[in-house]
Amino acid sequence: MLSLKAFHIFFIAVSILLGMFVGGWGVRQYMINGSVGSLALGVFFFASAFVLLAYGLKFIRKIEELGI
Amino acid sequence: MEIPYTVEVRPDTGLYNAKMGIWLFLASEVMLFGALFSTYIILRTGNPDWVQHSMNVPLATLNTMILISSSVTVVMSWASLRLKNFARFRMYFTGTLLLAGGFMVVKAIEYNQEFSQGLFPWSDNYMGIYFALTGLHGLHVVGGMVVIGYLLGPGAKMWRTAPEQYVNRIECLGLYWHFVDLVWIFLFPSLYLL
Repeated sequence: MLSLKAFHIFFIAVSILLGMFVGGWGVRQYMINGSVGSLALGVFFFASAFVLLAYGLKFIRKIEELGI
Repeated sequence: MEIPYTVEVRPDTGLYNAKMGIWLFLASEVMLFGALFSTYIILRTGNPDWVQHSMNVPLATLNTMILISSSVTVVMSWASLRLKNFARFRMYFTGTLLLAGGFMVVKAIEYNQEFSQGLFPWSDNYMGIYFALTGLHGLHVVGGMVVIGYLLGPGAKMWRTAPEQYVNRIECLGLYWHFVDLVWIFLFPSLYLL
């Protein structure tokens, strides 16, 4: 947990959670007041969360492969 | 007398000196930002007439993406050094510096917009805590930029004289940078969305 590698994985995990949270927030705002901007923000953050998840998994695989 | 554990780990802590030092520093930073976050929560929940301004979410979203990208470039620069590829390290580390600069430019644009709307730290409690938290965070970004600039410039000589120690310095900088990014991950929803 105290290495940069571990802290980076933790940071990406927290960023994924942020993406899911803001995604949910945006959809909720859209359902409450019909704000298309909030919906777009939500969709963007959901997409970011998926990209970060894919990146995180690739990072773990690559770092193990290289033995860093 | 040579200072021990600058490269190899101490058997009792499992860390080399600099990593121990940076984690102690980050622990003190958690207390600093934790106190300010607590202040925000107490002020907000304790005030039934809380004034919440709508801030520029698209700019804050851009800054969130910039900082997440910079965490990727900083870890890539460290990994490149571990693989002894100094040219690639330089590229990623310069990218981190540019992203940090981009963050500060966006933040300056945002502050400028707020000032032009008559929103200042003394306007109300929300603006006070907003400027305190984002200003302190911005100072940490600038501090990180100074260290990155040093390690890219005059500090890079160490790669030739003491490469292992240099890699450790980059790792410590990376840990600090991730902490600064993590603070923003909490600041963004707290100040801009909720």
